[in-house]
Amino acid sequence: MIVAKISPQQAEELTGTEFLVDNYFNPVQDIEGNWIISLQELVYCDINFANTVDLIEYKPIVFELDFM
Amino acid sequence: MYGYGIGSFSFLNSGIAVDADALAYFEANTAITLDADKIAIDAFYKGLKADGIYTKMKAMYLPKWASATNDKWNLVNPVDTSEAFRLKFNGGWTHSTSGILGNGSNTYAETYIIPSSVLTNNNTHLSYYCRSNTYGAIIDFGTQSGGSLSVYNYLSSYYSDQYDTGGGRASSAISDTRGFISGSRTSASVHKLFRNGVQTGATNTGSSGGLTSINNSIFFGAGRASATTAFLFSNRQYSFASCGDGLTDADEANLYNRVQTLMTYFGINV
Repeated sequence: MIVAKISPQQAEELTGTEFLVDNYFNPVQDIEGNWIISLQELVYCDINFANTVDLIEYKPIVFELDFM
Repeated sequence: MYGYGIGSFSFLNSGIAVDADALAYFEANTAITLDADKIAIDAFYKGLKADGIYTKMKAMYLPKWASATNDKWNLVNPVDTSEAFRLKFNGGWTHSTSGILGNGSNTYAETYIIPSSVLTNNNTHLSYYCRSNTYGAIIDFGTQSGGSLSVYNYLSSYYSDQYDTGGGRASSAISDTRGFISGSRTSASVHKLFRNGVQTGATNTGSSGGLTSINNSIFFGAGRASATTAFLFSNRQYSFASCGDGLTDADEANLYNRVQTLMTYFGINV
């Protein structure tokens, strides 16, 4: 799955911001510590913002069920 | 119950007694415009009340209206506040007339239902209607903090946690993730997992732990690892969910039949 890598500062700015009515940005970190948003969210970003991000393969943090 | 309306003929001014709670939902959800949809949903409300299930519900969601604005409503209390448990959609959900589809990377919906303060110890259920057959390290519906109140298909098994993950877990090895899934605890020693209205797996009779330690609100479409962190994001599509008091075997069968009838009407049954 391809996602958009953003900077920590961008993540802080976007978190909790409404990108579409009743839809909110949710930047999360992948297993390598990168902050990412989904492509579904990226399409609602300003074009100048969108041009600054890299598209990367999503690598989720691994949780074992016993962790819970 | 009453019916009303002005202007041209419609279900609401047809003289048919409309359920008052259904009417409140119609007024909140502006995507419900077809009389046929209103008749089907009204029948759903009336059916749950006839079955004695409606009063056991703290929240029900029918997110198949193709927008967050109309997918967010709690059918039990369709008011646009967190206190009414309307959903807040985070991340890149895809909303369609078939349901809400998670992206598997950052989507979840906040219910604002805090188990320790909203629900009753040893008397709880969580359910969801899943339209996707996708494996993964996924939590479909739940939360944890000290204990866990969750129902989900993780890799190739269903699990229901009420309220700890050791002695309080019910499970069943079923590989198809589609269907109506519910976990219900009706006493300290009776905790069951259901799929399509039928119990699956053994009754859990072990430790119930304690609901009072679960102070983080419930997430839909992901698990909740802590006060600030969602995890195990789902890439599945959902078209119904509920949360409330524990449901008996008969309640589970009746709820499944009511939900399945509604899903079939909308042409999104699995």
